[in-house]
Amino acid sequence: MTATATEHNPARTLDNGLRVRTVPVGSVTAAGVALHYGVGFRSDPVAYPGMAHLVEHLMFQGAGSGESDHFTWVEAMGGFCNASTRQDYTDYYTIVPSDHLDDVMSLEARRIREPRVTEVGLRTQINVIGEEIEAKSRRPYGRFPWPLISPVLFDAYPNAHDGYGDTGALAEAGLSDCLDFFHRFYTPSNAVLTISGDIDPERALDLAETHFGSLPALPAPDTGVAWEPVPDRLRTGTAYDPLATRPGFALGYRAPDASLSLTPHFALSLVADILTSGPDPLLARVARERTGEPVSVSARSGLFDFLDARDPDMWILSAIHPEEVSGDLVLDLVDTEIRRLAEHGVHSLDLARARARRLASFHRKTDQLGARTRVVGRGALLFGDGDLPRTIHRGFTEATEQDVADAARWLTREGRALLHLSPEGKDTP
Amino acid sequence: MRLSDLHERSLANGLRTICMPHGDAPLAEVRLVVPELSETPRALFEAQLRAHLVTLHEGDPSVSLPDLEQSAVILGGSASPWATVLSGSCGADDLPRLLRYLSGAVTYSVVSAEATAREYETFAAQACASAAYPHVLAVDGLYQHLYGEHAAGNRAGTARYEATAPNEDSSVASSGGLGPQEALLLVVGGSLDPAEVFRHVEEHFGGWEGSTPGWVVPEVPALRPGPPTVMDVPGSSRAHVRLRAEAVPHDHELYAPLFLALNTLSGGAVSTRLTRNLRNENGYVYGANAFIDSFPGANLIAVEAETSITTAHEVLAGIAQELRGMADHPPSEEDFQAARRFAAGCMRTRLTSQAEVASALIDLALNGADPMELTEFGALLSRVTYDEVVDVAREYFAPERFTGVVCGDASLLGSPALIPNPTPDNELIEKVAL
Repeated sequence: MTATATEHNPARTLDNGLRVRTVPVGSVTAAGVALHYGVGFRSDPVAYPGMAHLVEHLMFQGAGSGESDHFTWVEAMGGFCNASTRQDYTDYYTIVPSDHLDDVMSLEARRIREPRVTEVGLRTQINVIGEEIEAKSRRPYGRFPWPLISPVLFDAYPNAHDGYGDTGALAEAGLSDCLDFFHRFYTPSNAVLTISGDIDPERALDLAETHFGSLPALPAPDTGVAWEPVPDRLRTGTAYDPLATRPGFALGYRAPDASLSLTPHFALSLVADILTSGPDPLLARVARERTGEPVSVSARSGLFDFLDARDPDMWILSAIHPEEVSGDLVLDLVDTEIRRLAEHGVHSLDLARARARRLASFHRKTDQLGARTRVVGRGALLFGDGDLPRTIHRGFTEATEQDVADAARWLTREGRALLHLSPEGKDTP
Repeated sequence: MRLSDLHERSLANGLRTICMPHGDAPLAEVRLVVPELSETPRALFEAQLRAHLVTLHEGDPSVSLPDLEQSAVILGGSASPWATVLSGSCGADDLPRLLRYLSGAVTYSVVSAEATAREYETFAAQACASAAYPHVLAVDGLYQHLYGEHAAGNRAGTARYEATAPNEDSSVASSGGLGPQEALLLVVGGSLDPAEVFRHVEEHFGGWEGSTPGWVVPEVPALRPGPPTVMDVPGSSRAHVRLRAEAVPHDHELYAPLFLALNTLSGGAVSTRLTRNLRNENGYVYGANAFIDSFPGANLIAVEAETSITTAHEVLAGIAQELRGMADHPPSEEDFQAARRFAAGCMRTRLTSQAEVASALIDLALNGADPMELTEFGALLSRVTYDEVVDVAREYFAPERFTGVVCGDASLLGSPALIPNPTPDNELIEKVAL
C-alpha cells in the first residue's frame, strides 16, 4: 500500500500569516475547504467552560447583515459543512461541487471578516449546545471515558475541564464575551486554510490570496499554557452512570510530547491495536480464558483522534465487564499483557497484523475528501507538518518491534489515571 | 457518477457482479448481498450471528484468516430480515485473495465449535448491551409498533431478545444454504481492471451452489395512522421522536418529486424548514431529520428528532406545524431549486470515497432496488417540475397521515400528539427488561 502524495503540492503563506495548503485529488468532482483555527477548548476562559465550542456554533449564523445563515449558502451550492472543537483547534470544513470553490472561499472569508452574531442567536445556540450535550451524555457510557477521565489525569483547568461546555456558565456570557474570544483567536496568523479535491492548486492559492489576503495581519494570539507535570503516581476517580448496564474502568496515560517527536505515537497506536483489535482481540481473549465471561476492551492513542492535539495528550484504554467479574482482575490482566509486551516484545506477525489494520483504517478514512482535507490541515496547524497523511503512513510502516516494546514500557509507569465507572447504586468494582 | 463507470457481469449460477473503478486510494471495497428471508426473530438472530461467523471461516487452507490479517483486510457480516451482507475491504493488491476468502465463506464455511461458542457469547452480550441505549429502543419499538409480527417488524429489536437464549444449535455457524440466486457482488476500488475482477469472480464464485431462492419479500401491510405510541423508559430525561407515513415505491412517477419535496423539509440539509424551526429558531434539538426510510416492500416518509422530555410536546407541535406547512405554505420556487441543487450536489460531495460509493450502491440493493438506478437518479431529479413538487407536498405530508413512537419516561411525557386531541388515546408499550 502506498501513501497518496501531497508533500510536493503547492503551499503558500499569505502576508497576513495565513498558511494555505493544497491537496489536489483527481478522482472527484468536489472540492474541500477546511479552516483550522489554532484555538480549542484548552483556551476556554475559566468563567465560561465551553466558550470555544459556543463560538464554533455562532460562526454558522452567517456574515455581515445578510439574513441567510452559513448552512443556507453552502447547501444552496449543493454542498455540506460542519465543524468541530478539539483541545487545540476548531476546524470548519465544507465540501462543495468543485465549480463552487470560489463561492465557498468567499463565504469563509466573509464570516471571519464580519461574523453575524446576534443576542437571539447566542441564546438559541446555548440551548442547542445543551441539547447536544444531553443527547450524548444521557445514554449508557455517554461520558465515559471522556470527559470523565480528564480531571482524573489532569489538574490544570485547560486539560481537566469539560470542553463540551457548561451551559449554566455559558448562559452568563454576553455577546461581547463571545466577540472578544473570536477577535482574540480568529486571526489569519493563527489559522491554516486547506483546499482540496478537484482543484488547480495554483488557482486555489490565488483564490486564497483574493479572498483572505486583505484580512489584517495581527500578532499570533497567546493561547495559554496547558502544560503540567507528568503524574508520578496513580490517580484514581470513581463515576456513577445510572444508565450503564455493566461496570467498567478506564486508564489514562500521558502521551509523549508530540512537539519533540511523532515517532513514539505510532508505536503507542500499534500497542493499542495489538491489545484490543483483530478477529479475536488479545485482551478480550485473555479475559475470557481467565473468567469465562465476555469482557469488552478498547484503546486508542489520542483523546479524540490520532495525532489530534499538542502536548499534553492522552493514551486511553477502557474496559467494560460483567458484574460477576472483578474489575481488579481485569486491570491485572491488562497490566500483565502490557508488561509482557514491554519485556518480551511483540511477535513480528502480530506487529504486521496491527500495522496492516492501522494502515487500512487510516487510508480508508482519508479516502473521504473531507477527512483527508482535515488531516492535512490539522497536521500543518498542530505540528507544522505539511503532509500528515504521508507522515502517518510512513510512521506506521517504519515502526519497529523495538519501538512497540518501548511504547509498552511507557505504559508500565505508575503515574496514570484509573477511573472506575459504576452503575448507580452499585459498589465500586 | 455515470452509468459507464459501472461494469456488470452475471455468472451462470445467478450471481450478478458490479465492478466500479473509483478513486486513487490503493484500496478495494467488496460487498456480497445474498437474499435470504428471516421471518422470525430467531431466524434473524441466527442469520446475523452466522453472517458474522462465516467471515471467520477456516475452510480454505490457501487463504487463511491470519494471512489476510497481514494484508489490511477488514471483514464484517450482518443480516436484515431480507438479506445477508458480507463485506470486506483490502489493499488493491489483495483483492483476489479477499474474493477467494469470501467465496469460501459462502461455499464451504467451517468455523470451529470453540469459535462459534465464543462469538455467540460475545454477540449475545453486545446485543443485550445495545438494548440499554434509548435510541436503539426507539427504533426497535417503532418497527414493532408499525408491523408487529411481520418480517418488517422483525428488525434488530426482536432478534436482540433472542440473543439471550442459550445457544443449543451448533449448526448456526454453517453457511449451508446461502445460494447465488439473485445474489449481488459489488467491487469498488482504485484503478481496478473490471475484466480482471470478473475473471477472479468467475474463478472463485463460479462453482457456488446453494438453495436460497433469491428475493422473497412478503407484502408489507399499510400503515395505520394515529397518535404516536409512548415507549416507556422510566427515568429517562430524553424524548426520542420517530414518525412514519406512507411514501411511494422507488419506481413510482411521484418518487422523485416526493424526494425533492422532502428535501425542502429536511433531507439531511440544515437550512431547511424542520431544522430551522426546531434548532435554529427554538433551540429544542441538536439535530432533526426527515428522509425516506426504505426497505424491501415499502418506502416511508420518516421524521425524527431527539429532545429533552420537557420539550417533547413543543417538538411535536413544531413538526406538525412544518408538516402542515408543506400544504399551507408549499415550498417556493427558490426552495425547490435549492433542494434540487443540494440533492445533485450530494451525488458529488457525498460519494468521494470508495466506501461511500459502495454503501450508496449496496443500500439500494438492500432496499430491493437496482444499484444501477443511482447513476440515473440525478437525471431523474432534473426532470422534476416545481408544480409536481408542490402537488406532492400538499398531498403527502399532512400530520394525519403519520404514526410512530415517542420513547421516554411515560410519566413525564403525558400524551404526546401531532394533532391536538382532547381525549388522549396513546397506546403504551412497556420496555422489555433483559
